[in-house]
Amino acid sequence: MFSNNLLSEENLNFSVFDDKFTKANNLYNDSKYEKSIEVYFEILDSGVHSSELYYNLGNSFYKLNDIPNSILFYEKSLKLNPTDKDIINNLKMVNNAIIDDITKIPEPFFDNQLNKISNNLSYSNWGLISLIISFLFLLLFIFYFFSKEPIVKRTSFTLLLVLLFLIGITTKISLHAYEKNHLEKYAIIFSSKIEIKSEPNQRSENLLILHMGTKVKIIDSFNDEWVKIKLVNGQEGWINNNEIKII
Amino acid sequence: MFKGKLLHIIILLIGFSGFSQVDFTTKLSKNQLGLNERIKVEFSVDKDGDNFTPPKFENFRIVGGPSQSIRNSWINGKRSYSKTYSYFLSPIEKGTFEIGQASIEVDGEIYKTLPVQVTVTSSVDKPTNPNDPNYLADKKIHLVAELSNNKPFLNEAISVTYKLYVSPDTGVDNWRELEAPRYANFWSNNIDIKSLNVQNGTYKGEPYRYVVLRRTLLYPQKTGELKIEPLTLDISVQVPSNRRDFFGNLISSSVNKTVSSGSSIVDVKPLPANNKPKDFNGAVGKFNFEIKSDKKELLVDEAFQLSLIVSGKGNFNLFDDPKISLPTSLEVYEPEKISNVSVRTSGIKGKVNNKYTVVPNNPGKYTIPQIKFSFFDPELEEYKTIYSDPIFIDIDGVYKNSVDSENNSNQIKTNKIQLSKNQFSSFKTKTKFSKLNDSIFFNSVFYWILFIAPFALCFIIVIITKIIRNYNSKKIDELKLARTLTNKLLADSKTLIGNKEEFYESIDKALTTYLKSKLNVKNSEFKNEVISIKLKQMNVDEKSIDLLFEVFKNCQLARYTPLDIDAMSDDYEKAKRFIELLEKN
Repeated sequence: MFSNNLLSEENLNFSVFDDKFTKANNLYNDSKYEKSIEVYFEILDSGVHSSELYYNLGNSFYKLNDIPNSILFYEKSLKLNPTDKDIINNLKMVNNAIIDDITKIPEPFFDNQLNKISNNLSYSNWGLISLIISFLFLLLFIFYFFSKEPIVKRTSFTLLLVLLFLIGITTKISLHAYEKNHLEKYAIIFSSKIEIKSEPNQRSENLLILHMGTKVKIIDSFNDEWVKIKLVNGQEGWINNNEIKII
Repeated sequence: MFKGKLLHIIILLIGFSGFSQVDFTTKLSKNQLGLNERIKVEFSVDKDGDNFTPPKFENFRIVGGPSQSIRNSWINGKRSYSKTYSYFLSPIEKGTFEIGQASIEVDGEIYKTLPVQVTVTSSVDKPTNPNDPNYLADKKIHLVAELSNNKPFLNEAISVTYKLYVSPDTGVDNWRELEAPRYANFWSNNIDIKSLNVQNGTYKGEPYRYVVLRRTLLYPQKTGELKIEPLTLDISVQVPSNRRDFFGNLISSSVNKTVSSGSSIVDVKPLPANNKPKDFNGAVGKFNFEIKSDKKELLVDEAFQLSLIVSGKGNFNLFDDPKISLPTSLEVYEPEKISNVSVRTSGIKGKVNNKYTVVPNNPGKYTIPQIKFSFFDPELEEYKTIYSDPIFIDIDGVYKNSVDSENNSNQIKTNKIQLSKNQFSSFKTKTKFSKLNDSIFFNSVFYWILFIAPFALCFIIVIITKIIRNYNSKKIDELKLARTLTNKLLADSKTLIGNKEEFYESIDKALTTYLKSKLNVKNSEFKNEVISIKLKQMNVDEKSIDLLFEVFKNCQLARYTPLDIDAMSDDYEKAKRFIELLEKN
């Protein structure tokens, strides 16, 4: 009884969010982008999120020419839904505004393929697939074990091996995607121009200058004020925490 | 007095004239002179002599001479002769000096003068001739170099103006530049003066006319004391003399005069080092800076122009123009520099426009980032930085490598509807919210338990089946053993037919053993009821069961009742048939 109540309350709340979402979309459609951003943020503040919400926020910031925020929310959206074509397209459009041109180190072939494949689904979906396959494995094993016909037994055994292989692959992919999307932290540079330091203090040597909108990987932090970043070309350096926002 | 002395000397000379005496003396025009004066030194001898050797005039410079003069006079029949060597000397320094001995050879004998002392004092005001045209020209013509600021900052504009002041009563006929000044360590630009305008002004409080001959704008390129070399002019001047012509007008005389502006020193201050912006590129003055784009929305492959405009006053062309860094997907060409500046005495004024032609390759939104332009304002003595507004440019169209080229080659104007890919996608209308900090199922303990579960189950199944099989095989073994035992006992009992007690014991044992193992019955359960139920479960008909019990009954009876051989062989057959029946089942 009690849990039922709770569930309905939650559902009610979610419908409130849907109404707000529609309201914000209407504001967006009337070119009132600032207002729509406010409403989108209200939804976010309520403790719920969705890929589409982040995407629409990114669009609003895009229309307001706020490049770093736009990139930030597209990236957040993409994190929840790595296959959405609209997000990828708009992110590509806004990425044109980035000044920094960092040549990416070509990844090892295996990693590259793994990335390509893992990007097709979210890591939780990959995890579900590997779970489903392992239950299929169980069923097939029972079938194999109790069948008497040698042909059936032989085919099911081969199938079992194939399934085992698939389980290995999907688990590897889901772990890879999990690591990439969940454990690895990325950030967007917000200040229009920033120097990357060799050490976490202002006195140290400037390694290079980055501009707003550039995506960096966060690999370390120090004193809550400094974070160590890594660029796609392998360059590492320290940057002030205030200059970036984590995706 | 003087005449009297002279008379005495004459008398003396007459008196000594009998001797052949040579008089060789040094005569100075004065014994004391100023540093700026000259002295005339005469060595005179009253006999004709040769091989005159002047003394070394140390501390003096020979300005004129030697000049020789011979005087021969006959007075009252008396001949007087003198030969004079004269020099004009100018002193080099102050002090008391000696003019040494000069020597001359007269009739084979060498005569020498006595050394004379001369005192050189510091310069004295030259008694000047107020009518000397040179002197007048000096007084009435002045060339002055005026600096607008003799303590400028590095790269701050200063101007030097050359003015020729001419007194109202003098005139200048012509002038010629002897030495044009060179401005080492300055960037200089002459400002053309179209016509010489005579203006009235004062020079040292006196009314003068002046003319500006030359104006030069200078930008010091080095700090420290810099020297501006003088401008030297050769001027022909009309100077009034105090003579008058027939009509009473003053006659002026013409004099060529060299005038020099004198060199001036500029003390160039360095730009302050504190608060110096990092991107400061040497611009000094007052500037404005902006970026303009001629288009804000355009199609892929259309070009647009970005203008970086620096306007104002200052050292244009002496600093690096601001540079722009653009997103890499924009093709940027070398800028075209349009410079529209004019040089004035206060500095260079105007604007410099760097026009970049930019061609976007791909659609999307592009930012022209903020650009800083820093300069030093010498008036306020501080650095200033101007930020340009960022410009956003929206580019529509399709990505390159599309079918555009085919369209062009076909040259058919049809409204081909293309799938408009790579356009900006609009907002999404529907969504499904999830909790922001939802616990993640993947990689949780529960996930891995679920993941492992199928394999664990497989393993359990294998083990269970194995255990069951083991158990079954054990039973079969028991059954086999029981059967062989039964067969053996049956075979024994056949030989024992006639031997009543042993025969029935053997039959009973064979049947019991067989039934126990076949029906899986323990000793305690071995009762007729249990056996009949179990046999019925095995679909053994009642007749056979009755047959079995009949045999068992005979076994019991045989111990107490006599039975013949026929009955025994009959029972044997019954037992054998029953076992065969059960085996078939």
